[in-house]
Amino acid sequence: MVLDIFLGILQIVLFPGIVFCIGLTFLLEWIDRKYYADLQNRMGPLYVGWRGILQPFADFIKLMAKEDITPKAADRRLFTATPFFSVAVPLLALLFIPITNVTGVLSFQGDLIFVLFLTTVIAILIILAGYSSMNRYSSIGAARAGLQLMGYEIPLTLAALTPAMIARSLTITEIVKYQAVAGMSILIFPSMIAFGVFIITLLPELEKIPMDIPEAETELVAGWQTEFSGKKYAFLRLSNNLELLLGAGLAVTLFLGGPYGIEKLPGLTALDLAIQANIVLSTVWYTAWFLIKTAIVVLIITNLRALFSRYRIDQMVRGAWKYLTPLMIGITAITMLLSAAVPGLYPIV
Amino acid sequence: MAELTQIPKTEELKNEYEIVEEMKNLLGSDLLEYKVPRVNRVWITVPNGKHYKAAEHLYKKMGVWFISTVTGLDLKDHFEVLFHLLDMQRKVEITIRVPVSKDKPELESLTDFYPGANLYEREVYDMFGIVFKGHPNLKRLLLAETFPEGEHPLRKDWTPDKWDPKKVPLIQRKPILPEETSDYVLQVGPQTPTLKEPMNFEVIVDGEIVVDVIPHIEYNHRGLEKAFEQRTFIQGIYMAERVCGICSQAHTLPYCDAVEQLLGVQVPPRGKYIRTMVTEFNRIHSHLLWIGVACHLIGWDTMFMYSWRDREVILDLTDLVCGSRVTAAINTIGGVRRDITDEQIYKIRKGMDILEKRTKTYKKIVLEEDTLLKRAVGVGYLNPSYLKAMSAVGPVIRGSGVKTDVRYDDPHFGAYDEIPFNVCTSDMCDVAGRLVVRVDELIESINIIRYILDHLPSGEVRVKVPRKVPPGEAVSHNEAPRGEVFYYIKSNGTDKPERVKVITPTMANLLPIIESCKGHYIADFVLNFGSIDPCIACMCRTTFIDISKSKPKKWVWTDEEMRRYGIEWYQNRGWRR
Repeated sequence: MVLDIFLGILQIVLFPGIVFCIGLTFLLEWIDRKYYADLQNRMGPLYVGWRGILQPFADFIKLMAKEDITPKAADRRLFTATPFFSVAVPLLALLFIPITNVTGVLSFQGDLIFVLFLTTVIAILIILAGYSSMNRYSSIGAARAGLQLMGYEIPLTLAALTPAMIARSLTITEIVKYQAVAGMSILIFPSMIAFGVFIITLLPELEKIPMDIPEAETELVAGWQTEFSGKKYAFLRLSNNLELLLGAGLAVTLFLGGPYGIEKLPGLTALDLAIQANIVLSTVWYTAWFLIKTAIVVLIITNLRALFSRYRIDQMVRGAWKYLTPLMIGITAITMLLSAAVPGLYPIV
Repeated sequence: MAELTQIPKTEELKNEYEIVEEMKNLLGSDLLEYKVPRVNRVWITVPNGKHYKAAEHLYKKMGVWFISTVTGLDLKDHFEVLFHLLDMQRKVEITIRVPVSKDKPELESLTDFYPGANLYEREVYDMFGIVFKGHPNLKRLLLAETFPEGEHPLRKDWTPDKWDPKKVPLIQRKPILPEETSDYVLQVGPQTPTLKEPMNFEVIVDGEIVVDVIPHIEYNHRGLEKAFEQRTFIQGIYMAERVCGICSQAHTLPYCDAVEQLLGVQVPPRGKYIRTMVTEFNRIHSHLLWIGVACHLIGWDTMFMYSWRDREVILDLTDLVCGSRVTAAINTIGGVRRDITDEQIYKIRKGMDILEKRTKTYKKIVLEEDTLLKRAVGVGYLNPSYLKAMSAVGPVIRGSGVKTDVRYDDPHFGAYDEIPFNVCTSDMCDVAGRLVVRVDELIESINIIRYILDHLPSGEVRVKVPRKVPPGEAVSHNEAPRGEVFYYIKSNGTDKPERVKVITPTMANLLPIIESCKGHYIADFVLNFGSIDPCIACMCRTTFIDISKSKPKKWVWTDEEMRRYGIEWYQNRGWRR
């Protein structure tokens, strides 16, 4: 009993919980920066560690040591609290993502809805952070963040629910297990379109170009982040990295088969059994596959980031309501129709 | 009526004398004097009050719609105000000279026909205290609003000791909005990622929509025009070069041309061609820079990195020909400093081939890339007739389909009268149009450089000139990458100029662009101001002093060595391409 509690705490704090996730975000940020630089004919980080692999961590440490200023006009309590919460909320959501195992650290019936709810909370935290700092740039940034949220939230949620409808479950573990049997949901008909919409709606969620409208550097200095400095800014950056991991992790979990690797292919049953028999091997195997898949999603996002210029807020919201929302509603309807009308299409596991 | 004609009436000067005759008929004995010192130049002097009539006639009957600038002069016993108008049809630069008494420094404003004279007249008011009656907004322009009343630093009797900086109050602007409004002011500049240069805009916004923009450009007044007066003509070249880092060549060319007009010397053809070539280098480098910055402003940093990478090609060529990457420093009074060799010509040709290929790629991107078009098409719409009224210059007015280019309208400052080229225009009237014009001009510049290399005359590149310049006055202008650069120089027989007036294209384009921002999104505001480039000085040679040896060793690296060092440095750290 005591051992169980101890192990549980260890799981939450160390592996695959808080410390591991934060380490992973730094790795993903490095991959993102290095690939982005490569696309732009640059070198990217070089100095710290092997090819600058420790640069994101060094940035974090440096920012922690910087002077922390709270503006006089700011709502002091909210201003201090938002960076902390914006790290805590994605970390909480990450505990539901299966990384080392087919089940996340935390799991309950219908937890997908909870995770999607947490992604919305992150957006609301951004709005609060912008308004609490009482800066004009921040206020405009926060207003834009709110507008963006209205635009992307419905397609994002519907896209995430499409694999859930196919798997007939709102539990993340069940969706992953379903994909082990029926194949990745990116290969199943309407779900592949949902994957594309999911990636597109991740861009405004993560504030990446072409949807980095709330923090548009050249227009609003740093948008809603303008007044944050020192530790608070370090936390906001960490929060953004965690969101990237969460977004990529959700995409992997829902569409790319979660932490399962090649062992679920037909004809490799022996490998599958061997992996499941050894807990250490299975942990390493699943983590490695999760990492590879997450990195692929991050590379897709980075590629989009390098290819496009920033949309204007009205163009983004109009695009989301004109194309993405009707498309996702249509796909939801098609999925429901197909699963009702064609009984064998989505096998019941 | 004193006639100061220096060149007799010939068939070649038909247009010039047509204007003089018109003025004679209109003003009669009020035309105090006139002169036609060379092709394309007409100077007329009218008494205070009659200039309004003259300008009205020129604007309404003769179709002179462009005002280059307004110059103020302090001639000890009285002031003079010069209105420089450019007649694009007849290709004549007309200067209306108005004497203004010191007791009552007032004259009528020309903003009724030339709204573009707004900022120029404010500048004259700021520097000389000459009041323009009927001006809509006569406030200080280049100096801070809090500069003491009645202090006008370009007056000859003004000295800095009269002015105690400690007594000047700190800049504390009055709130520009009433308290009970939902609009608020967004400060853009003087330090912001949008504008790298010290300039401030108070953008009044209602949510996401820009309601009004108030520019403040007083942050970086360096007193260059005053500094010109304290330096010799040769030293003035260096001053002119430092007016703007990016258009350094574009500034020295009209400066030298104006001084050569005063001296009455002709630059040898080879020198003229080399000057023109470096001017086109300057244009290519500036436009590539601008494309990068414009894409950066809408968040497309990839394009920024690519266009700035290709800009290195032209910077290296400038270095090869002139000896430095950005500040070309090749012009001197009477010609150019350096000749070019066949090897350099070969390298320039190769560089042009690379640039042409890249530029065509950019053109394709500009015309096809969807997110770029979404941000550029229809943004910052400027009506051509409005731009003509405001006397806008450069790619801004050409982007609205008005075919004006100083290289074409008054080609005698360089070798442009002998070189065939097209004036690129676009009828899109928006940011995309300006983008297309600039990309087209890149290709046109490459063609001009190729033509110059093919037809380079042989012979000397410069003539010797005396240090002292005979008394007189001259105007010259050049099409800088951003538009018209205008120089007025008055000499008094010594080796120092009496007055140098400089006007840069941004001033002419400021008001129209602000107008086009109103009623649009904040996001579009930054792209509209994309043509204001940051200036980046770049060192390409480093001097090392090795003090570990007993005898200090000093050597200078060329950029080849520097580059090799850079490549090795990266390779030693395990990074290979």
